[in-house]
Amino acid sequence: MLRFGRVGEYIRPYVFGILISASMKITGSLVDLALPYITSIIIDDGVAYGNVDIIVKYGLLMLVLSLFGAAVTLRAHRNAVRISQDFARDMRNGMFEHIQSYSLGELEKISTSSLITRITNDVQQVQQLIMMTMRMFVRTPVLALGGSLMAFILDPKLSVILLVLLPFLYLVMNYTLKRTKPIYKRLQINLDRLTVVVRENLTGVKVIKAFGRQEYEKERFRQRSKDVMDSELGAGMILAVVNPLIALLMNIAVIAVVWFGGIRVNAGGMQTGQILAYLNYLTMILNSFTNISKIFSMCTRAGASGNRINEVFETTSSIQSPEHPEKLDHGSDIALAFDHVDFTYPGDSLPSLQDVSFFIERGKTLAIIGPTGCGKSTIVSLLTRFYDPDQGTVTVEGQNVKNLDLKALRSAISVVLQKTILFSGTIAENIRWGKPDATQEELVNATQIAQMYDFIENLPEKYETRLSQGAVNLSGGQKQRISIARAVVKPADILIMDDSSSALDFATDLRLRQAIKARIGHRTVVIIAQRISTIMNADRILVMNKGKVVGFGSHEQLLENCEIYREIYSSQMGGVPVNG
Amino acid sequence: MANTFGIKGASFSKGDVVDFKSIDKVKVLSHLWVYAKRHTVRIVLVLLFVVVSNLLALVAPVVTGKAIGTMEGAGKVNFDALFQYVLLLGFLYLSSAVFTWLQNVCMIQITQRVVFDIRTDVFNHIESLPMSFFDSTYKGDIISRICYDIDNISSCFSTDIVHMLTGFITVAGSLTMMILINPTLTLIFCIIVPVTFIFARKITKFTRKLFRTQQYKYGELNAYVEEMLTGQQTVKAYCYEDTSVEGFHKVNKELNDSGYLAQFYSSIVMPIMNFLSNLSFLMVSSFGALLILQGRLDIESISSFILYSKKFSGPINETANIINVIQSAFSASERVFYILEVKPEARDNETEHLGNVDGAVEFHDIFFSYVPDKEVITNFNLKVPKGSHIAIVGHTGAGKTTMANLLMKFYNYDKGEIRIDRKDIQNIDRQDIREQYGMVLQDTWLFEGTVMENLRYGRFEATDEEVIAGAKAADAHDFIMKLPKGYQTVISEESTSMSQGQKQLLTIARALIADPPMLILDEATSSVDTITENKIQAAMDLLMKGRTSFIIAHRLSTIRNADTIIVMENGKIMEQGNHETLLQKKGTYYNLYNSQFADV
Repeated sequence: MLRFGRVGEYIRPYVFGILISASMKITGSLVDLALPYITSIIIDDGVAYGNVDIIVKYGLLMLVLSLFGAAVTLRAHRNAVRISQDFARDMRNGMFEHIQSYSLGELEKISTSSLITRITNDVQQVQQLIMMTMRMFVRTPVLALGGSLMAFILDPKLSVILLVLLPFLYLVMNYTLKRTKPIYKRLQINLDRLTVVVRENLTGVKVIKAFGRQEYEKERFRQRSKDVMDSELGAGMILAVVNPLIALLMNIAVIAVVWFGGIRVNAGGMQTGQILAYLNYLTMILNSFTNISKIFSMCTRAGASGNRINEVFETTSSIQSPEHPEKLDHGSDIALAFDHVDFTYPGDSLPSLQDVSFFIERGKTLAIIGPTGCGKSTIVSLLTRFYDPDQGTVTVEGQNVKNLDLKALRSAISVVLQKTILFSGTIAENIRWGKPDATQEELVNATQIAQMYDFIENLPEKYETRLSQGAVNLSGGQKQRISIARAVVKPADILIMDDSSSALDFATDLRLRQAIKARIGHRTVVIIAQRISTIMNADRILVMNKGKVVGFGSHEQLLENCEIYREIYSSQMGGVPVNG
Repeated sequence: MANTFGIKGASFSKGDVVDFKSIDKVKVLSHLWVYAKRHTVRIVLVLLFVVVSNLLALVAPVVTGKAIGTMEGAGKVNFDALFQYVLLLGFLYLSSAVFTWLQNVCMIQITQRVVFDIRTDVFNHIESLPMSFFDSTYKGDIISRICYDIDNISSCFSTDIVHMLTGFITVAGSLTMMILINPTLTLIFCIIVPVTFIFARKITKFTRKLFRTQQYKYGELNAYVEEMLTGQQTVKAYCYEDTSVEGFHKVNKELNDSGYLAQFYSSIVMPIMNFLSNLSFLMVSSFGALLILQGRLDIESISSFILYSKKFSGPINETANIINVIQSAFSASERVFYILEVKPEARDNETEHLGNVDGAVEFHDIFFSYVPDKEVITNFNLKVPKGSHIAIVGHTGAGKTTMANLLMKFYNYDKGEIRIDRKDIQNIDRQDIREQYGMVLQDTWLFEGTVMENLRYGRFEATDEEVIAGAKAADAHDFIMKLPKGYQTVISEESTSMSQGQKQLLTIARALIADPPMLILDEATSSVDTITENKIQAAMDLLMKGRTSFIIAHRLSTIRNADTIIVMENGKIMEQGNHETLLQKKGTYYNLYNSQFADV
């Protein structure tokens, strides 16, 4: 059955409103039902006898009633819209806030594409059900029950037919729900998978065009689009039976009433007029079922969506701020340290870090170097607590990162990530991620350090130049330098640069390093790089290989006692430096 | 030195994205018609089924009446006749059910087929769009259009269209009956109709804008979520969660506001229409009473007239009730079809074809700008003999990647000529050109699939052995084998279990396996360490041997052996020559080269 879970919690504040709105809608519907009765009085007593008095009197009554009905319905609709919209807003806000608390592990587990579907399409499904329930669907049970009740009062004996019908109706509904539920679950998953292809094609357009793989991608999309269609068809085919089947069942009841009614009339137990009235009530019940297949499809689909939304809430971040965080007291001279750290990425079988230990004093520079996949970036992820180590401790300013408030920790560290991500907005807005209230001077200072100043100054709109999503309108080096400026402007004691000059030419890289040293030299700097020239002047150099520390010391020490370091050195400095 | 290079695609300001990017009503309908047309047979069938099942539904009450007519009182029921009527009823109801079912089945098939076709066409169209389209749009917004907007259309069509169809028949039938009974009365009844229609038109016109805003806001919300989740690591590193949530609240509130207005104004239609139809009923009965008093109408006629007038209003009210669903589907269609209106990459006049290329490439007076008046490449001339290796160096933003973009025909240059084997590439199909190049980009791109599938992306015919050999040459085999399922491990761009450098090795392996006639390596090894780079150098050398190759790199060690090194600045060639001659020149290259050994 449907679990209400968190979705239920979000509906709860509106339950009263929903009830009010629903009862107003029912009132409106009752007025609609009363009007035919007045109509018949106007015709039978007024029009038929040319009695203008009655026409005017009941006409006015009808006018007033229908005005009242319109007003009540209007109000009901307004509430329904308000409630369903506000519910959806709350739900989305809640989901987005919760997703923001995910660590990268959870994000990868559910996947970005699926989260996008859930926060928009799935919420919309539930929202629509809530609105349609208030606006249309409440009529169905009211009319069905009302009709049955009237029928029962009119003739309890004939109503046995309705009772016989009940289990069949139940069977039809039960069968449909059971069959469509997994299909709708599948449908939402298939929508996820469709989103994945579209997203990949938007991101990887250059590669797809370069390899001329449009046809292949089209086929991939077609296949997934077909899966979506198949789910829709599967559910649709089942639902296609519901309406006619229920109508048929009700009509069988009509036939039974006519036949048994005939027997009753023959026996003198019933008048024909009563049969007619009874049939009218049956028709009323039948009419109430017009929307039944729509109700079914919306309910089941919203149910599937509801479960998916609940899943988002049930997934909680494995990385939480401690309940009673310690304060960063800057009491230690050691800015950063790893102590016998082991780490394996969730889902991986082999460890990425094994028994890693190192440290760096405050205000000094630590460089990390090592072959591809040796765990350099993983060290950054553990320092910023994107993940927690399996064994050992990571300390910042002498304190275990697990004991620090997450925000305090991440505020103390400024990172230039390996993969440059900029956001749509102006250049200034992007740099201000580092410090929201940064002054113009601070921006200028940061861009000067990042060797971006001249470039920006020569743009017509300078710092107010807009970047599109992913800043595709900048070259790789320009993007990287904006992300460096963003990190520099952040008032953090520790600056980490993860391979962040890979897209810069050597001259720019050199000027960048000189500027960092000269202008923010008091900060503790961690540089991860491939280039020996970038790192050889660091105070300490950590050499990694296959997740293990293979060397830790100064450039001279490492040249002496670390083979891998020597190898890297000679691979780059093989040629004799040309001195001019 | 002033850097005058413009920002690529800057002509697409945010203003353009805020623009609704949708199209007008007539175009939407004509687009829809194109798709519906393909199912003419089924549509005719549906119409037929609708008519038949409605007729049967109309006949049934008459038969019921007759059946009741057989009961004249206690002991006077004609059971033979009753039995016959009951049998007839059973037949009518059963066939009505069957026809309704058939009509549902047909309708669902049409809808889903149409939706599938629209999706396919929109996606196929996107595949044909020029790079500038991708530079200027929000991914989340496009996702929203293809995945969710079309979903919206689908749910509207499958049920509501049938309702409207049935409604139309009922309305037409009732109107005919009313005219037959009494034209004057019908005229009275219809006095209200124009009011109703004007009101409905006004409201739909007014709410159309609101619905457009609503759908647009959905797209914006989607774009926001997509962007923030994609950049989640950055968000976390900068403690931007709260600001990001705040931003979400803002977009969400805008969606809430626009959604409320759209839905509210459309929800007033039904009660007001209902009221108007009651009003017209009153007018009919007052006037009808007058006619009866004058003896120009009898009571039975007015009874049935009123019954038909009720039937007439029924479907109209029902349609009014679901007008919000229809309108959001319509706005969704506008957004979806807008994509189809974006002009695809201009078709080339494919007068020439590249067969087995030798790979002689010539640039002749090339000028290029991403945005008008902001030249990125100025008067670029270069002759590349077949099989030679060209290294392009220069400061960031000097136009190196732009050159690669032009070679691949991702963008069309403004002036000049690029020739491959002396054939102007303007006259060659761009796909034909792209097939000649193997391209390794700085930005890796892996799609959701196994390692094997990703590696085979450049050449599907490659055998498993060839793929593994390629992976080994790119030094990727070892770490692939350490993945949980080796070559069958499912990876994606989001995978955390591979480092950036390892992803780059995979893209190099992908190019090795593709085995193309020419190569473009744009910072192909920027995230790879130098030892690994040395290891794969042999494979790269083998790959480049005898093939025209363009190498863009900052690491000068990787380009020292190039036949020709061109140093670019501000979109022009500043220096040209091989390593030795350029060093002797003591110019830009000399400075660039030395800076890599410089100390801080």
